[in-house]
Amino acid sequence: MLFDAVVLFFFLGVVIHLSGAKFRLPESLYQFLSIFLMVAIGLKGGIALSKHFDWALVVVTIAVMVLGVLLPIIAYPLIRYAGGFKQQDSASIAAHYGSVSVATFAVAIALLESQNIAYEAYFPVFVVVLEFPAIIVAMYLCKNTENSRSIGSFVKEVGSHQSILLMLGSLLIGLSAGESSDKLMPFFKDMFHGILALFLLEMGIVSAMQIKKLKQNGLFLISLACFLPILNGLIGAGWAMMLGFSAGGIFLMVVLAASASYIAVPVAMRSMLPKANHGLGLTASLGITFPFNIMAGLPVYWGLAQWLSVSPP
Amino acid sequence: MAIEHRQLLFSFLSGLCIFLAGLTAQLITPAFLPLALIGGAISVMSLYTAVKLYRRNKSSSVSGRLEEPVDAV
Repeated sequence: MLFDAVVLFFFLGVVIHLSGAKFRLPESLYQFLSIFLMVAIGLKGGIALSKHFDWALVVVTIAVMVLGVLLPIIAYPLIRYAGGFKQQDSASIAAHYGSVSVATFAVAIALLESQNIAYEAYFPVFVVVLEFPAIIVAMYLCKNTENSRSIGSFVKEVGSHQSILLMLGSLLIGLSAGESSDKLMPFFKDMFHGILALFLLEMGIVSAMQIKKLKQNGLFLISLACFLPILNGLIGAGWAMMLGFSAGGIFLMVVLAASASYIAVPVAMRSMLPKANHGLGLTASLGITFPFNIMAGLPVYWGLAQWLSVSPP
Repeated sequence: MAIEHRQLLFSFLSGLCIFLAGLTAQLITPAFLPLALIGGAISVMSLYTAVKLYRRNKSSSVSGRLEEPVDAV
């Protein structure tokens, strides 16, 4: 599980950039890959949800959203007081770490499926609901600053964001169409790993490019971006244990808590906190936390999940 | 405490935490070794930066003292 073929494509992307080769996937292809991944994850979750729908899931979803509120609240004082960043910058970085990364989740799913490890099928629902709470918390933390904008414009901005719409929409399609959407799965299931490999190739290049921006506050951002995934992951593990998930479920919950958003949150923060330095959060989440999770984090989170699932409560 | 010092202290302590957590968890599964290495590297880097900062401050304070005008006796 340490070196999955899909994950190795991420390394390849980093090596390509470091070698100085001017290689990037065409923008339209990158768009296609991310659309494919979001639709595939949403659809798969929706179909699974239609088979195993239970009202208890609503309670579990609310509990997961509470976790999404808790994570940025824990991260904020660390960034603000240990890092000495401005209020808006701290809130923006905290929002990145309270939200989730769809790509990290996709890699975690691919790892579980390649090992035939079972997990709770409704996890894509959590990916969607965990996008929002951290952004709301960041807005709340900056509510007394003059440059923040209203919650209404935030709902409009985030609600109309491509990743949210695609994942939520395809989840609802899978949920309502149920097994009849199985005919789409040869495309969305069989090609999933190949598409993810190409997506990670591009992400490896982009992550390597972000690292060059770590001139100021570099060491602090590196330590923060490695420490927060561990801290958040441990909190996520506790949450997963409390909710009674399987080993696969604990692993996915840890991955969701440990990952940091670099798609939806930067877009929302740009709109909501226009005066914040958005490069800080994006560099930390995409340049450090994403590679950290892919290269070192995932095996650790799986080891933790396995240990917790066999340990007596 | 200056921001630079606070950042260094946080980097050192978080690196140490990651290092110790990785080292302890190594008993559970060998997958934790990279974690210990990353934590160790962060701690060492922050110590190195702290020493560099201390030397820079020391040399600037010495040169500052030398540049002070000396009253004629």
